[in-house]
Amino acid sequence: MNRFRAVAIRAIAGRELRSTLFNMGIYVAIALGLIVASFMIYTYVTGIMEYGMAVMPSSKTETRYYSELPQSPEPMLVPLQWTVYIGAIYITLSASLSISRERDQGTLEVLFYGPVDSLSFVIAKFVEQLLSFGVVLLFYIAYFVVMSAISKFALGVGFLKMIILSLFLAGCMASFGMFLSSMTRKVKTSVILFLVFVITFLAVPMIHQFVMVQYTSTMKGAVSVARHVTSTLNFLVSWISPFAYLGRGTTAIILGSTSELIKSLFFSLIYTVVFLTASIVIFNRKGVRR
Amino acid sequence: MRKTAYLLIALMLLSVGVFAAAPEKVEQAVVNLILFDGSLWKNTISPQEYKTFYMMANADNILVPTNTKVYFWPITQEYMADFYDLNEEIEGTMVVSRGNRVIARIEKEEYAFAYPNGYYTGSPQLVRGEEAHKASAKYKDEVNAYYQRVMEYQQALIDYQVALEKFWENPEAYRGRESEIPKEPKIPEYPTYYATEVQRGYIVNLEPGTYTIEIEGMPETKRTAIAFTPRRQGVGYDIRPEQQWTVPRPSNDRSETVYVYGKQTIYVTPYKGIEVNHFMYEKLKKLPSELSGRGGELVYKWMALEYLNGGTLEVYKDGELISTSDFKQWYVDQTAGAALGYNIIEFDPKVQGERPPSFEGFRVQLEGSGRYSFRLVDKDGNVVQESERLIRSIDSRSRFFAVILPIVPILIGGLIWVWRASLSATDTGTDKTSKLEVAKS
Repeated sequence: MNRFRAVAIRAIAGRELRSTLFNMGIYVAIALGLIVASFMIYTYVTGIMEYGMAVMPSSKTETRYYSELPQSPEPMLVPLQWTVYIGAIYITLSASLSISRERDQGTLEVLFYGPVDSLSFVIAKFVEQLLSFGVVLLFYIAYFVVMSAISKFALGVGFLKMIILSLFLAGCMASFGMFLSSMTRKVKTSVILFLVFVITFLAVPMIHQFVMVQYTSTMKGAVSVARHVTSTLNFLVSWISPFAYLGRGTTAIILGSTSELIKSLFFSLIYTVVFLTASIVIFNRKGVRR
Repeated sequence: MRKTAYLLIALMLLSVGVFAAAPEKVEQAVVNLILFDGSLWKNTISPQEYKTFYMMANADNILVPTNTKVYFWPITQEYMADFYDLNEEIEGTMVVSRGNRVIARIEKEEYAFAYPNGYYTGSPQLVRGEEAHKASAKYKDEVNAYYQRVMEYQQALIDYQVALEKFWENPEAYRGRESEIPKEPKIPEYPTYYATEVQRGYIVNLEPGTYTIEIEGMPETKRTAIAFTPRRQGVGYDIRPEQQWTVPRPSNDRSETVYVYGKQTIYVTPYKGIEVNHFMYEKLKKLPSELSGRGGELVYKWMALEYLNGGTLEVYKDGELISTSDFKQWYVDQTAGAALGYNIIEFDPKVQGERPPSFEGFRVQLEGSGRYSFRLVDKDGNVVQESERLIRSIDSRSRFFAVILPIVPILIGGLIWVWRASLSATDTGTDKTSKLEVAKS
């Protein structure tokens, strides 16, 4: 990458980051994540106060009393996972608006009169999204450190792994959002596309799980067809959805499988590169005019 | 039209077979597997459809190749053997190979399982050869002796009833001769010791690895054996809070933390635990099932084996030893009256009579705030490995902070917004000029 591109990337990313930090959106997203985490921690604390004690296991357990306990990882891991989900959704929304907004407002054309090309522009936008997520993550880390000190819930190795994993997820989400943004000329279209995809990514696995556990003594044929359809959709979503990559990484952390975690990080990286490349190609085709 | 009619008739005839409930049985050589799971021996089979089986390494496992009839049972999705229809044990020398190298040639031998503490308590012992005959004979002798005692008891009971009738004819006559009042004979107890009949099989004890096993010259008995070891071994605990003693919480791993609230009394019952691969362990217990272990290839889980009795539990607070607790039996004493309630007291057979103890374990009393830990020390004074657990006392104030902290980002955002608004008012914002700056650079 030549020097001019680096300068352009730094300037655009810096400008965008300043703009993000001076708006309320990011703080609302952080607060939403913290509300979800607080709700979970509040529930844990109340449960322990009512029952008197709790053991937070780190792996699947089988005892004489229970055939199999549900997985229950470190107490801070699930709240962190949900805050990361919310932070990542914010990043996707922000990324999905990043190109289309500039194109819609006409500022993109002005920008490209300078030494800015499609590669430096897309990379700059991507870097800005990652930096924004870094800010979100800093708030989350500060929150969990404070809550851990107050509540005495431990922050284990899983917490650290989850933080690293979430950075890779942010990469996936930002590249996916930019891919959506590069395809559209209007902000409204970007928002609609974002909503359609996020709802699909979250709903398909849930519907699939629901269909798979249905009792099939009646309407056997219909349930069977629904299972085939949702299985195929779920398979596709598991490769396209950035949430699926976080899910696989989280499972690897809970199971303590380093190889699976590394595999998950590697695939997240490939996902990011593929969608960023696609964004640049589409951006070139669509051009900078309104 | 006629073709359609023929087709319909053919379909109807075929459907008779489709709706048949009795599964088709196929005669084949299976290997009857009696495999050690860490505390007990579990029985499963290796049919032709499942030629790879899993077993614990460095443990005695028993293999019995047998000709039998096998069928698939669709309800539970597993292959089953009908040993009542056909049960012909295959004789010969078992050859165990690793790669192309034969590592053992094993002959069939006699064995039995002995249960010194009874069939339902404690672990069985595998006894071989002459010892198997002795164990089986011992059990038979004890049963015979028991029936002898039962007969004596029946006679003593008749004598007692006769004596009792005589007593009731004139009880006054026994005044001053109370020792002569007839006493009811005691019911004889069934022997605790149990041993199975002597059986024959190939006893295999292998190091971790993959092996080929077959009866020499009989390729239909060829199987692949995967011998595995637990990933970790340690001490697990059943932990009961005093206020809910019926719902113990398991703690298997030393990385797990026990969270308590306030002043708390907990009861801790240790057991031996192993961490095993979910898939292999499930297959060890039930090999020919399509569902057993499915999806568990990457999952490791802790298995609770036998309880550990005795020793002491050392309790630390902030690194300082604050108390030791002895292993005791506990009895849950219901409070008198209609209202529900109980006290957990030390079990005393003199007080509780024939009622059994409610549970066993160590009592740990925690004062509230602080960082506690406990560890198990055996009868010889050695600290048992992997027996440490950390106890954290949670703070109820965290609920207040859980409500307050999410507001902080909104406050920061609000302050920035106010600051920006004040900058705009004085027309010193940087954002408006930034695009030009980029274009210039």
